[in-house]
Amino acid sequence: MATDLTDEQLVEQAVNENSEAFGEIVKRWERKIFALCFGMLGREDEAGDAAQETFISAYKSLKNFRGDAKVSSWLHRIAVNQCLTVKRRAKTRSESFLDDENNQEEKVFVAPSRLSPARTTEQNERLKIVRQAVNSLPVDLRQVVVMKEFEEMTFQEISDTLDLPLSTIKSRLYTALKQLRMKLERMPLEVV
Amino acid sequence: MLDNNNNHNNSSCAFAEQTVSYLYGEANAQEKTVFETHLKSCAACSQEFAGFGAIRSSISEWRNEEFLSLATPSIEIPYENTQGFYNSKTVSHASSSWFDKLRNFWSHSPALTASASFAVIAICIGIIFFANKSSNDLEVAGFDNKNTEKTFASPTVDEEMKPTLSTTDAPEKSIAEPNNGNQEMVSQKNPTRKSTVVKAVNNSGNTVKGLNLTANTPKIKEVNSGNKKMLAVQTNIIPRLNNVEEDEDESLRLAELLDDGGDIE
Repeated sequence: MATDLTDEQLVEQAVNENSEAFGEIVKRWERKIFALCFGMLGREDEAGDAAQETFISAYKSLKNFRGDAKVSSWLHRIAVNQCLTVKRRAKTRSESFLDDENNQEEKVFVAPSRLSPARTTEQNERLKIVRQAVNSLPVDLRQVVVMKEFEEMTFQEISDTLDLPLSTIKSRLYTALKQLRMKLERMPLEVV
Repeated sequence: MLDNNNNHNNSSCAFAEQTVSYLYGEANAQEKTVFETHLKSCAACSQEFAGFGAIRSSISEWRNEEFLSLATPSIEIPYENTQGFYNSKTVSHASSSWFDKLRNFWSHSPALTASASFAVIAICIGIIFFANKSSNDLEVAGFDNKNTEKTFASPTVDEEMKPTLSTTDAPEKSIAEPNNGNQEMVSQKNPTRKSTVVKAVNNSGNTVKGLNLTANTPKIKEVNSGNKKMLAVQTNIIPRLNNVEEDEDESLRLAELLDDGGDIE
């Protein structure tokens, strides 16, 4: 059965035009890749597009896949690239989520009293701030934060996926958290 | 201040990996002990650790509020070797039609397929066979019924009573016993001529003797008209002509009588 095979074995079968094998890979990774894309982009529609493009690109480049890399690394690399492509495309169309967030930053933080007293509005604002802060991180730092928080991977798994040393992963996460703390502490709203 | 900051940064950096490991619950027992001991003695690290905890809570809130409720989008792969697309939402409960399921069922058991085919063929042959047999039976029954109807003009008709035409020196007089007063006796004297005697049976079973069919028998018509049933019997019976002399007159007369019997009906 396809469910008993490893990712690498499935890819090998998929290379031999076994569509069912690649379908199993999609089934295993679609949620995690979608989570990564959502964390990287912050929007459901863009995350969906990026996830779709990730698997299509992976299917097209099956024959180019070398067995030396892990399938998870390969998929994550493609996914991050697709997220950057989608973000770049959005920027070109002047519909960048990050740009909108940056432009609205001052409006949001002019004075707390102007904000809606409703808890949901306050929560929405807080979430938007966090989202903006994460999106402002460099790609390599953002990816580690997203993989840890959205994909809920262990440090070892992230290390294996990105093919980087464990210490590097931990160091990147530390640096990302530090930068986020600095950004959020500058904002008048309480983060928690 | 600056030295303190530098020291703070150095200690933070020194404990960077331990901080994140402890923060995400992936530190082993020894690392936990060391880090907890350090936190007690380092206010900066404690403050930093608290800040990191708040950020992590915010990110978790963002994920819980905006991501966990989202459904995984349907991934469609344009396979080159198969028809159509792969869809992650429909592959598990693939919409194979009932026809595909039936075909798969039969393809897995060729012996069953062969036996089922044989049974179907045998049933068809049996149906055709019985259908032909039934139609033949019906034809035979229909023919028999037809004959019975024709000969059952009188309830008492039997072989002996079947009228026969024979040329005899029949007496001049012929007696026809009346039947409900519908019969009339006709007799003709014609001693010089041979007459044809017809015996018939009326509807009450009485034998009517000696219908003398002679040349001069204009009244036969009346007799015949009086008793239709007698005539009915008469007309149904094929007359046997025994020792028929080749007499033109007599043959013509017989023909006339037979024709009249048919007309009276």
